Amino acid sequence: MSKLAHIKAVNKKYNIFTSIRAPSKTPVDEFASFSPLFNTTYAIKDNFTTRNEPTTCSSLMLSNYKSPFDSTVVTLLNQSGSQCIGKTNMDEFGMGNSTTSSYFGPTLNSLYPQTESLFIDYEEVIFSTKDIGDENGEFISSDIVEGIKEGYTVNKYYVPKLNRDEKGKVIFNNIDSRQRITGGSSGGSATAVGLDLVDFAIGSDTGGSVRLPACYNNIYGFKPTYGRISRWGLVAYAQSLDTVGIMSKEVDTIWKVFSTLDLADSKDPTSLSDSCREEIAIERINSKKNVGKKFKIGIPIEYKFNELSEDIKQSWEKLLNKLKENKLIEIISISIPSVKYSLPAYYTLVTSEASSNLSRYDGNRYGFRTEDYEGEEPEFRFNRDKAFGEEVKRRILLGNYSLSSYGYDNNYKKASNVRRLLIEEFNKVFRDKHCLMEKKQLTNANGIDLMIVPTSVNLPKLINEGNGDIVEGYMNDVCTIPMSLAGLPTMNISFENFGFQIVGQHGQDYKVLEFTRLVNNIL
Amino acid sequence: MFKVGLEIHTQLHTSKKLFSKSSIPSFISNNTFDDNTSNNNKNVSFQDLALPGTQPILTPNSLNYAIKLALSLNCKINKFSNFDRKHYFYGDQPLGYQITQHYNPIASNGQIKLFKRHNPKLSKDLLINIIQLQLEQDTGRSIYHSINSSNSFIDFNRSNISLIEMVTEPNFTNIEEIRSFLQYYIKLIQNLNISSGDLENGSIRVDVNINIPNHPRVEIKNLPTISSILNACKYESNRQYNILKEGLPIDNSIQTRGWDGKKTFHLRNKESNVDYRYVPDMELPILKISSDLINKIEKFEMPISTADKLDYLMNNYNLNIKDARILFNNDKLLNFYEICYKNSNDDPKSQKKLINWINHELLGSLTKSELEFNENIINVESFIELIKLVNNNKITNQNGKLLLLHLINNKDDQLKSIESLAIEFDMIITSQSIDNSTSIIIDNILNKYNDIVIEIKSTKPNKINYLLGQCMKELRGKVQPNIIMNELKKRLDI
Repeated sequence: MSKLAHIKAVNKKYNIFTSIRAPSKTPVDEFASFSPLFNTTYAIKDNFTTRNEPTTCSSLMLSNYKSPFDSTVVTLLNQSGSQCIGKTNMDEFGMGNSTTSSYFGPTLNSLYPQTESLFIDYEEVIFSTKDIGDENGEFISSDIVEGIKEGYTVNKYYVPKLNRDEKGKVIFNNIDSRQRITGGSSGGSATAVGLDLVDFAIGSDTGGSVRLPACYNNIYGFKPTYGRISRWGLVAYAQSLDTVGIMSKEVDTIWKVFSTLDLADSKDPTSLSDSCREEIAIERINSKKNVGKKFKIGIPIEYKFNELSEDIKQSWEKLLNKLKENKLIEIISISIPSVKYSLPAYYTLVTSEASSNLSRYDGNRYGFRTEDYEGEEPEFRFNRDKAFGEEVKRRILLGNYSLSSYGYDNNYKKASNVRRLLIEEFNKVFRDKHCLMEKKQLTNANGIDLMIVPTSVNLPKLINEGNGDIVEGYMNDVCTIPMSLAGLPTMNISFENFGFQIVGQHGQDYKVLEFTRLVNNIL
Repeated sequence: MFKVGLEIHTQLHTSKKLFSKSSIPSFISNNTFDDNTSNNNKNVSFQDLALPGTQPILTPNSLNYAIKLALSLNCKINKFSNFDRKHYFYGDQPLGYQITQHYNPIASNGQIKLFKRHNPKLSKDLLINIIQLQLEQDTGRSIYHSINSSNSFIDFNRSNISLIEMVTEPNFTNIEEIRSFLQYYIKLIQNLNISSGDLENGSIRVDVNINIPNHPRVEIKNLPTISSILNACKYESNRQYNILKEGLPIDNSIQTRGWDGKKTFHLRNKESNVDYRYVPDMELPILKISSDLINKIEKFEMPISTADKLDYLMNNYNLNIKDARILFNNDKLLNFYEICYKNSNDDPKSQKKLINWINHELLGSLTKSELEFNENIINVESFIELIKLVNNNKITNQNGKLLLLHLINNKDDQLKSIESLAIEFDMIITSQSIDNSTSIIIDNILNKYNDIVIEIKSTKPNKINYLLGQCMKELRGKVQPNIIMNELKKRLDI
């Protein structure tokens, strides 16, 4: 079976991809064999812009939107010799932690059985782009047309032919009753890695969207420090929290991909500057120096959530004991009081930013435009009403409330203050300096190197359980949110079928990677 | 008496847009949308259309331009300011929000003094307080073909161009104050070289806040010219006055009104306005403006202020405000004046007449010739020699003007000496008194126009100028007119 046929067959069962890219016939660059990622393949979440297929964000709103430019991540990966095989399914616009709110139906979990196909066939789509290079040697599509056009670059991809009910919801009748949610919002990327379809996958992590699905699929999922990997081309959900994450079964692969993408980008105003990167380059050397010494691991008492399952609690202790026995770590109990307020603060901020960011989708310049409208007013309201899913609408409404003149001080500002406090508290417990803080600020010489905390409070829910209580659903993010609010580098590792996070101080990505490698050797 | 405050949006002519790398369209946007030939949507980049995955990057130049304006309006420049999002849906607003400065603007608390000595129409010196300056992005432009067509079009060329919104306190109490300030402001931004300052093409846009005592504030929008601004203020203050006088019900909310060229009309009330949901932009960094940057701009990039320059012209060259303004508004002419002034240091009498020759005779001759002034129009030496010839009674004033007109239109003759040219044209004054031939000419004129002589003697003494003109025509300016005049008066016994 060809690789493409294999991917298509697996995808029929797990519904991983929003589009599968037809393998390119362009000859391999002879110098590419020197590239760090030569001969690797990857999948990328469908909220990163690519020129070869649509960028849908798993929403009807962008279901046919083709970007004229590639995201920086894609440009860098292509230059490093890695091949993209397709775009992965996600919760609509990243809003969710289950990959069940997609316009293209849910993605299933790689760890649980699925024997029957969810859909029967694919549609092959061809379009052509007129490519021109810009001043930086990057290419943009100056014209995009359907079908084949002479002199243009021809792009081919496959999309599942899905059955929908009268409301437009995807019907999957054959889901195995043992199937569980794959986590989200980067669920497609996690399942693709879990089923060995790719060497690694790119996701985005706003509040845990890479770490939680990595946890649910027993793979590594790395969310770097906020600002280390360029967000240019990542469709914004909540920019102050959005990060580019990497998933793989191999720590070394994550390491290679991270070092490939860890670059300043003048296109992204939140990208860490070159001077800042020079300062934190020392961090790499220091992380090496630490090898052979014991890492000081902080365990925040606030992470002993009531919701935390007994199994995970025990597994967590077992993991820590094992690392202690191997003389890798010493454990210090710490307190980060603001963790308690992180969840409401996060949901206030993330919905506020989302309601603002999604304002641009009005169907005027691109995206979904309703055809059966004949009113007097502009059709924004009708376009948005039809093309956004329930969860997206809910979050826009919540966000609009927080930003309104009566909700701003009581909600948005308070949440921002919680976030500020949380960052201060982290700065106090870590030994390393937050890479954006002034040098003058005292660092805690006796502080911790890393934290180890659970990624989720429980096993993933059965997929047939339905969405259940919405707030309960939000609760699943409780373990991953504090790191997002503080922008900390965090790696999900798996131990005894559960996921745990290794958390470093802002800027200490290589310390997290180095430690993960050591843990990997022990486990 | 009314109280007026102004909100002025100024488009900055930076080379790039505020948050994208698109260049600024050089053409003036017109009001049509033609798919085939127009320049609509040509200067548009991914950010200007708010494509998914794009991010704003600040063009640093916009900041420098804003600092220049802030300095010249004597504002406090805030060391830290930031960008906020102002949300509303509109077809020409691609992001669904405008990036502006709501919470911490770049500059605040400025003031501008307009002096009566520079603005003779003001009744007293005028102090205008500037509340704040905010840097923000422009929207696209909606184009509606006609009422009959259901299609509207959007041109995004304007989208994302840098704007500065300036808000004044309600310090204006009459039309002349508003006029003087607007003229001052337009000249200021042109002088700073930050904007073309054209009202007609929307490079600057003025909104008016106006009320008379006991009437709530009314906002007037869409005022495309200075005269429409002034007329709208006149109309609106009268309208408010009549409402109060006739005891009509007052709309206590803040009302927004438009201007149709004749009258203001209701657009909307503040209550029905949208909640803009202002929030600090999450990805644009805080603007930090160092005192070093401010000092550098103050030292190297600021032109002399209007008031200082007018004072300098008036004091240094002893000019009146009218002449000073003519020079102030025309750099090339000012330069020409200053060189001529220096070069005629040896002849104070000519130096004194210089401003009149430049601002009236030279500009007048240029207008007649349909030319604009430039430094090549006449060389300094010829111009000074000409004035001296007139001053020294070598040629008459009238012939001097004719010669100037000739020189402008026949540049080759500027190479000759002006005196030789005057000789060539037979313009040299040959006699300082009435000689025989002149006397005969005067006799002939008096005989020929005997009916006028009678009129002069009876009821219309001013008609003597007509006779003088006829004599000068015959004499071709070879005798000074005052000598002829005296002779005429003597003969007519008046």
